[in-house]
Amino acid sequence: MNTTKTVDPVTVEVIRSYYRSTANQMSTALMRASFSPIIYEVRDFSLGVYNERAELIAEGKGLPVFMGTLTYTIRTVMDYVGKENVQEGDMLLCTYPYWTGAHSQDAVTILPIFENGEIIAYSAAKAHWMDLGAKDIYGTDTTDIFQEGLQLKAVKIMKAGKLDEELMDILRANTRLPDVLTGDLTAQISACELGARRLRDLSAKYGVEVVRAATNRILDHGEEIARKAITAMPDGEWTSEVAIDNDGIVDEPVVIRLKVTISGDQMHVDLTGTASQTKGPINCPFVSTMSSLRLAMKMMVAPHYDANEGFFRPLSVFAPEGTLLNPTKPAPVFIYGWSVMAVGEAMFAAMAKGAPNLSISRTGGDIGAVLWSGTDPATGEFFAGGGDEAVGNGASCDADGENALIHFTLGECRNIPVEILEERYPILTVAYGLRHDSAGAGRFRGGLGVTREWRILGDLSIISVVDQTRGGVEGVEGGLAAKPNRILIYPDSPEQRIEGKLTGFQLKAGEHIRVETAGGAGWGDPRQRDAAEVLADVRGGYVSRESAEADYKVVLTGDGAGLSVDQDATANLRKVAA
Amino acid sequence: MTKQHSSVRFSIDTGGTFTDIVVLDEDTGEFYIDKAATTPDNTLRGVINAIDKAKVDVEAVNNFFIHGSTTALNAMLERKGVKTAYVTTLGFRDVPEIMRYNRTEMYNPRYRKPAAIVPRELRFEVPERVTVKGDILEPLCENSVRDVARQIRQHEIKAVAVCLLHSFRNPAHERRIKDILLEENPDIPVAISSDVAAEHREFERGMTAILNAYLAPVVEKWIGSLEEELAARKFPGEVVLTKSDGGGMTPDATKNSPINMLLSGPAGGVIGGLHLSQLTEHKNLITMDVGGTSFDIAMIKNGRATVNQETEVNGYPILISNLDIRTIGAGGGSIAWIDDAGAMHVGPQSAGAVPGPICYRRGGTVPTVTDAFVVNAFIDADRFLGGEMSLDAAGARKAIESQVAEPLGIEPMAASSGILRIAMSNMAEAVKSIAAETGEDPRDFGMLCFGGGGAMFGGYLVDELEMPAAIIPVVPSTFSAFGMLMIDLRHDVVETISKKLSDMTGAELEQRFAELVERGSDLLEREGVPAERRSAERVAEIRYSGQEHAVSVPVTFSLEDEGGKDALYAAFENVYKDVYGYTLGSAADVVNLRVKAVGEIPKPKLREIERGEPDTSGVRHGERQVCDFLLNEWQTFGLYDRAALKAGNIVPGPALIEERTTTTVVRNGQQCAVDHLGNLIITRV
Repeated sequence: MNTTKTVDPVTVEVIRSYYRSTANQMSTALMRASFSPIIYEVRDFSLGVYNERAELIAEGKGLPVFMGTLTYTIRTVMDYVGKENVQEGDMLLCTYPYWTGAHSQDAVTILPIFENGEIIAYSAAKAHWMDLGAKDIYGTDTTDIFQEGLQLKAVKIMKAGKLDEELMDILRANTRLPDVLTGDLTAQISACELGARRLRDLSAKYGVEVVRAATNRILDHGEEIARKAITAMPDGEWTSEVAIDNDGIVDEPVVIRLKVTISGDQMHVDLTGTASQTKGPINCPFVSTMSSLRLAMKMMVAPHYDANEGFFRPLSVFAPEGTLLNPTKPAPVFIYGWSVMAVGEAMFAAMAKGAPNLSISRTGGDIGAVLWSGTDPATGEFFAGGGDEAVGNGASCDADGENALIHFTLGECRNIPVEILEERYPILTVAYGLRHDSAGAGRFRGGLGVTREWRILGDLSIISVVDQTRGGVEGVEGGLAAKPNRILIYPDSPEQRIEGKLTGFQLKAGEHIRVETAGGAGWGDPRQRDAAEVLADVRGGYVSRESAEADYKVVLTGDGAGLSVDQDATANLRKVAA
Repeated sequence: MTKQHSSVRFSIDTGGTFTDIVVLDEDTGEFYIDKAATTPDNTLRGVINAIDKAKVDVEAVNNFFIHGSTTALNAMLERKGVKTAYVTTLGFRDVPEIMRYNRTEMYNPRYRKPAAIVPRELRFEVPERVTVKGDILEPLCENSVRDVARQIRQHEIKAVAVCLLHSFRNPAHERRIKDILLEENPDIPVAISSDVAAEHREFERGMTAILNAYLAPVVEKWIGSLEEELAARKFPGEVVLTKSDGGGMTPDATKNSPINMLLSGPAGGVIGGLHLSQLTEHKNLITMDVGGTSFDIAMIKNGRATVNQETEVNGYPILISNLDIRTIGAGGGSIAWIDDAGAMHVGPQSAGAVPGPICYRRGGTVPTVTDAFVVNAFIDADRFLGGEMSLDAAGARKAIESQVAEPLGIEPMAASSGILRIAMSNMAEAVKSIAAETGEDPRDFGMLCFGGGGAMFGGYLVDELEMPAAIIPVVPSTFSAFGMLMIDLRHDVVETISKKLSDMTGAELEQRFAELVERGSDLLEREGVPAERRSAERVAEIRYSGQEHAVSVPVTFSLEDEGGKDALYAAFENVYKDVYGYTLGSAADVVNLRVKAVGEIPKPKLREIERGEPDTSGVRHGERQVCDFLLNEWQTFGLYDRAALKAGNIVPGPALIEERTTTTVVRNGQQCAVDHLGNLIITRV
C-alpha cells in the first residue's frame, strides 16, 4: 500500500499506544455494562477498531478464537447494504452465522466512522447473547440454522444516532431474557461509540492523512514480523488429520484433513478432503475456520505482539464449499466451537512437523462441558448452570505440557470454584484433581487432564458436550497418545456408563457423575526421558509406577521416601526396548 | 539530625534502588530526608545505613518508627520462603496446582503456570467434609492427621498451611488439625485458611494460607533482627509496619499474617496522597509515582482510595486488603529499543539500578528515559544530586544517536524527544484506561506527582490528559516514606455470609457486624490503642443473585431501624450503578461482611512555609536551553531553586524548579504556584 504521506516513527508508536488503549477501553466498556456473566466472566466477545478497508487495527482482549473474524463481517455487511446507503450515526446489526462465523446468539454491531462524509474507519463488537429466537438456550441437535436463532443479515439498529425502537421490539419479543438482551446490546453500542469517539479525536489531533499513514505503517509492521517468522521456517508441505467423534446427531466420526504449505514468507492452508457438511450442528462457518487458523498461526509466529490485520496477510486458507469447515445455508452450526478447537489442533499437529520449535503436541482438545438444570429440593426454584473444564496441554520439543489448562481457543476462561458451585446448585463435589496417568508419555510428557466427580443432591437434567473421546492420537516424534476425554455416569458401580455427548439425561438424587478430561500428547521417545524425571513424576503421583515401566522403561525400586531408580534394570529394559 | 528532640517520628521506605528515610520533628514540623542504597540480599542493612546516614538519634525517638519493607515480596518473588506442606480435604490436594485454568499469556501455546510453591508430594489429604451450610458431613479422621504429622516430620517441613472445603463457615476441623499438628510437631508453625482469609473460594483462600505459611518464618526472623538492632540502639518508641492496604500493623500482628505486608511498597505514596487531600482542596487525586522501572497509579476520590480485597502477585491470587495501585513498565530506567521490523518502543524492560542509564556511568549501554532527559537538558549533567554525581551526557547522546536515531533515519534530538514522548503517552494511556475501568474522567482529578521522575512528567501529563493541575508535593522523590508518617493502625475482620438479603433480618446483620466490630476493637485494645482512638468502618459485599462479582457497600447507617435493609439494598444499587453503569432491581446476596478496625495514630502538624509575593523574578537565578520533548523544540527555561520559593509565589513557565533529588518541569503556557505547605501546583495559564 502506497502512502502519500510519511509519518515519523515516534508518532507511529504514540498512535499505536492510542489504538491499543482504545481497544482495551472498548472491552472495559462492554464488560462493565453487559448483563451476562458469559460476557464479563467468560469474555465471550470480540471487538476492536478497523480502518476504512475494514482491516483490523487493534483488538480488545476477548475470546482468542474470535480473533480477526469481524473484518469479514464488516466487509460482507457493508457490501450487502451498500456504502452509499449508510449515513453517519447508522449502526448495523448482524446475526447471520455465515457472515459472523458463529451461532446466531453471537450478535455483531458495526459502526462506520465518518469524516467529511467519507468512511474513515469502523468500530465493531461481537458478543454472545444468552438467548435469541432459538428452540433452546443451547442446542446440540439442531438440523438447520432456522432452529438456532433469529437471522438478521444487516439491519440498522441505530439510524442517524437514534435507536430503532421497532427493531428493538422485535429483538425483545424473540428472547426469553429481554432485559438481559437489551443490556448486552446497549453495552455493545456504547463500546462501539466509545471507539468511534476516540478515533475521531485522533483524526482531529493529527489529521486523517497522518493517522492513515501511521495506521498503514502499523499494519505493515505486523506483516513484516509475521513474514520474517515464516521465512525462518523451512519450506515444505505438512499434513494432519483430526477426527471429531460425531456431529451431535449422526454417530460417525467427522474428519478434518489439513495441509499447510510454507513457501518463502507465505503460509497456505488447504482443507480439501475434509468431511462434507453434517446433518448435526458441528459445522463451522468459514470465517471461524479462518480465525482458528489465524489464532494458531499467530501463536506460532508472533505470540508477544498485539494482533492486527498485517500479521494475517501472509496466511491464505482454502476450504471447499459445502464442507464441515465451509458449510452453506442452511447447515446448522450451533456447536461449531468444537470444530474450531479441532481445526486449531490440526494446524498445530501439521506445524509440529514443519516448525517443531514453535508448535506443540496435541492437547486434550475439548472443554469437558457439562450443563445441568433442575429444581432445587430446598427452595423449589428452577436453576440452570454449567461449567467448562481444563485439559492437559501438549508437550513441546523441549518442555513438558502444562497440567490442567483451558483449551487454547478460550484463553482467559476460568473454572467455577467448588465452594461457589455448592452455594449455587444442589451438587456436592466428591473429588476434584489431576487425572493420574492421563498424559501422553514422551521424552517430554504431555500435561495431565482433570477429573471431577459430583454427587447429585436433587434430581437433575444433564447436557454434556464432550468430544475427542475416542483418543489414541499419537504425539510427535515418538511421543505417545494421552488418555481421551470421557463422562462416566454412575462411576465405579456395576451400572457405570461411559459417554460423550448427552442431551436431557436424567440423574436422581444420590447418583454420581464424573468428568475425566484428556491429557496432552507427548513429544519424543519416552525411553529418552531422563530416569530421574520419571522418578520425580512417580513421586508426585503424575505417572504411575506401572506406566513408568511400561511406557518409559524405567524400573523403580523401594517405596516411600526410599523410592529410587533401579539403574541396571532400567538400562537393560531400555536396551531391550530399543 | 543530632539535636535532641522530645517528639520525633521517622519512616523508612525500602525501594528497589534506594532506601529512603524521612525524620520529622513534631514540635517544629521540620523534616529531614536522606537516601541510602538498598541492600537486596538483606534489606535490614540498608535500613541501618539510612538511620546512620541521617544521623537519627534513635534513643531520643520516643514516638513512632514506621517502616515499609519489601522483605516478604522479595522472598516470594525469589522463592526464598521455607519448605511448606499443605493439608486439605480428601480428594482435593491438586487445587493449588490446577489453579483456575486460565492462560495468562493468551497467545503462548507453551504457556506454563508459575511453579507450585508446595510440590504435589507435600500436599496431604485427610478424610473429612464440611458442607456448604457448615454442617459436618464426614467427621475428621484424627488418625490420618497424626499420620500426616509424621510425614511432615520426615520431610523436614518448616511450615504448614491447612485449607479445608468450606472451613470459613465452620473452622472446627481446621482448628483441630492445627492442634494435633502442633501437639505432634510443636516446632513447626501451622497457618489455617479460616484464620488467614475467611472467605469462600478454596483455591484463593488456600493459596493465601500457603503463602502466609511459606513467608512467616522469613518475616519473623527479619522482624526479630530489626527489633534487636533497634534495641541495641535503645529505641524507646514503637515500630509500625506498613500494610498493603495503606494501614499500619504492629510487629506482632505482622508475624501472624506476614502476607498483609506483601504489597506495602507503593502504599506510602497513597497514604501521603490521602493526607494531602484532607489538608488541601484537592479531594480527587490521581497519584502517580515514576520510579526507576515502573509507573504506579492510584485514584483517590472524595478523599478515599479504592481498596481491593484480592490481588495477584506473580500469577498467584491473594486474598488481602490492598490499595488499588496499577503499574506499567515505564520509568527512568525504561529502555528505548527498535524491534525486528523497525518499530520503536520504550520499556517495559528497564535497565534497573544496575547497570542503570548510560549517563550514570555504572556500565549501562542501552539508552533509557533518564538518558533522554539529560540529552534534552532537563537534567543538568554537572549538578545532579546537588553536584554529588557528574553525569555522562556525551555517552547518553552518542547511544541515542547510534542506537535509535540512525536505525530509524531520524535526527538525534527527534529520537531523544521521541523516547520521552513515547514513555509519556504510554503513561497517559494507562491513566485513561484505569479511569475508564472505574467509570471516571481524569479531567475531574488533580495529579499528584512523585518518585524520581514524577515532577518531570507531571506538567506534560496534565496537558495531555487535560487535567486541571499537577501537584508536586514536598520531598517528591521520598514521598512514599513521607506518606508513611501519616499512617493509622488497621485490622480487617471478615465473615462470609453468602445468603440472600431477603432471607436475613436487619437485626441479624447488625448483630454480626457488632461481633466483627468487637473483634477488631479487641485486637486494637491488645495493641494499646485507647478506646477514643478506635473506630470501625463497616462494609457489606453484595451481589445480584446469580452473579459472581460482589461490590463493596459502606454501611454507615443502622440496619436494625425500620427500613435499614431497604437502605442497604438502595446503597448496594448505587454502588453497583457507579461500577457497572446500570442496575437490575433483582434479588441480592450478602456475600461478606467486613469491618475495617482503625486505630488512629495522632497526625503530626506540618510546617507552613513563609509567605511571599506572586512575583518570582527576584529568585530566578539563571536560564538554560532545554528541548521541550512534545514539540522537539529548544526553549529558554528559567531556573529556580525550590528551597528559595515562598507560599504564594508564582513561577511562570517555561521553567525548571530544581531540588537536590529531582526537577519540576513547568512547560511554556503553564505556571506553577506554591501553596502554604510548600507544594507546587502546575496549571495552564
